[in-house]
Amino acid sequence: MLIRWFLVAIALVILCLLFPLASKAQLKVGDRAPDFALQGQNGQTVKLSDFLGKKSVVLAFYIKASTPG
Amino acid sequence: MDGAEANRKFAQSLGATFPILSDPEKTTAKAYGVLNFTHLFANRVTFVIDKDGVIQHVDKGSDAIDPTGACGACTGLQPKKP
Repeated sequence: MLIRWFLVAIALVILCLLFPLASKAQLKVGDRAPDFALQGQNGQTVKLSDFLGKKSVVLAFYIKASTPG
Repeated sequence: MDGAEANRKFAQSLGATFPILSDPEKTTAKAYGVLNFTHLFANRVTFVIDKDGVIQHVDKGSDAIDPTGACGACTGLQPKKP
């Protein structure tokens, strides 16, 4: 019985490590957008700062390439 | 999260003319607070950022699939014609 509870406790610790709850809060309207430099599909580097003062930017996060919706 | 090659194929399949970016280290997803609670992938969230780098509109979840909200926000950011 004791071993069973011990295994449950270990499983809970592993779950806590896998799914950290202390995620950063999502940015909202009025927040300053953090700069980024990421690689595009053609190998080009795209920075948010490249657009500052020139164009507005639509930044869309999505789950995975080639998924529907 | 996907590599550039997966994104290149995805862009081709869509006929996308806009950049599709890779965030393999998830640093940008973390910085914007859109990482899923499992930390394995990003949630579906769209930000409209103005020329000054300030977020003007946010759509998330099923709202982010429909681009109407983001398009409306972009229209509002267009310079007014004299």
